[in-house]
Amino acid sequence: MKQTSIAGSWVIERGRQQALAVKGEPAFEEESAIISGVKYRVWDPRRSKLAAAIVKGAPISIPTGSKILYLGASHGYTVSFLSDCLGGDGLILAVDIAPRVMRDLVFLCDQRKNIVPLLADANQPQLYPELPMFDVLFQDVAQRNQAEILLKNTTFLKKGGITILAIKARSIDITKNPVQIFKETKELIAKQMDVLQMISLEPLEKDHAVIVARKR
Amino acid sequence: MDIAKLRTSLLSATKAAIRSSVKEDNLIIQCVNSMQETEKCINMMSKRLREWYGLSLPEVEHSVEDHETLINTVLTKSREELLKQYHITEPMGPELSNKDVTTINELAATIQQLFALKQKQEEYLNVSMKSYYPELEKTAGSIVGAKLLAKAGSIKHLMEMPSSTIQILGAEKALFRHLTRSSRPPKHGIILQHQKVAGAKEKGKAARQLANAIAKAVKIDYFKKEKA
Ligand SMILES: C[S@@+](CC[C@H](N)C(=O)[O-])C[C@H]1O[C@@H](n2cnc3c(N)ncnc32)[C@H](O)[C@@H]1O
Repeated sequence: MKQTSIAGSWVIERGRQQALAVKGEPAFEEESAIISGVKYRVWDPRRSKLAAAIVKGAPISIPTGSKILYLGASHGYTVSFLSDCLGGDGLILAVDIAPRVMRDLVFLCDQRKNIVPLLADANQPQLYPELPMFDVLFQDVAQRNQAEILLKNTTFLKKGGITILAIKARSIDITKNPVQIFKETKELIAKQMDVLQMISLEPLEKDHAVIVARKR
Repeated sequence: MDIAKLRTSLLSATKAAIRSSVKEDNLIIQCVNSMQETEKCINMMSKRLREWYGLSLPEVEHSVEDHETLINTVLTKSREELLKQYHITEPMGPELSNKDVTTINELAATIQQLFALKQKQEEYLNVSMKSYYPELEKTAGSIVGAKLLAKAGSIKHLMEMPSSTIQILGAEKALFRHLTRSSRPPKHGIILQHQKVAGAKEKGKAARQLANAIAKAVKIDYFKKEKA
């Protein structure tokens, strides 16, 4: 079992596929795996772009106690795993614009004290309440101007902090070639950040890529 | 920064924001979605009822095309009455025991209740659409209007849509096929269910005109609400 670059998570083999394993209470009726007598939650790379990026070897280092600004938290699938990885000193500020998914996220916060919910439009960070500075900015919002949203939110990122952007080609332009879209998005980000790597999530997620960058 | 304090204050702000996000469009959307599901259930269960009842009186099942009428017949008429009414001298189905008839009738009674539910939901939509979105109701009708709301997700999203999108709302699959495999673009979606489009000779043109009118109507309703 190999430790990944996210604290408290390991790569495991599930049949012919790889998945991540994390210790903690189940939250999404996800599968569990028992390895040397210890029970783990199975973090499915087909349901989580962050898990997919890790499985595909993206250079994403998230140590225990990190503070993460998470844009596009949805029902909190990925957030729930991160919560278990980060431990009590960590923080995930989970932002989403949709009240319906926030409802589920608030329930998730009941058991996980390192999650803080925020119902807000990631496109308007100037309207956020006062927030601390973060070590990691993760974004998965499926919006046309994904790169722009990411850059706006880096005001809350510490210098040297990393951004992880999950891009869905189809939400930018469904008629364009995904590779072209990924390239253009990367160029936009490279104007203000040091791009560490761009990784395609195929075949785990079709027409998706992840760009990892560092704040100058 | 005190994280525990931040958490307490944002949790309560988030709860308040979720509470105040529930508006009449959410309620209408739930109802119209439920109504469509009720419809599906009715269809599925009626087909089963037909198969089941058809074991005993296939001739009646075969002649009564409308589900609701068949259900009323099943529930109110005896085998003897029906044999006479439909002039059946050599029925293809056997007479069933009381126990069998009772079970079949229980299914029929439940479907009948679903018909009543659907009707109440339609009435609710009618009243709600008239009072909250009167212009949309006038141009699209309450059911088509509510279905458009449901597809858009909210009155705000519907208001922001260009009329060309409203025109093909509900035909997403055809649109995707068009964009990726260059098949012909869809001319209409949900609004095809409107009398003005369904009954028109030139459906494409009628759909465009109706979508234009709907786009205007929604804007009027939306901004009237904003001001209030
Ligand atoms: C693909 S889902 C995210 C899935 C999640 N990252 C996971 O792995 O479990 C995209 C989410 O972004 C949210 N979203 C879209 N636009 C947004 C915006 N402008 N601000 C905040 N959230 C947004 C949507 O409501 C949706 O829940």
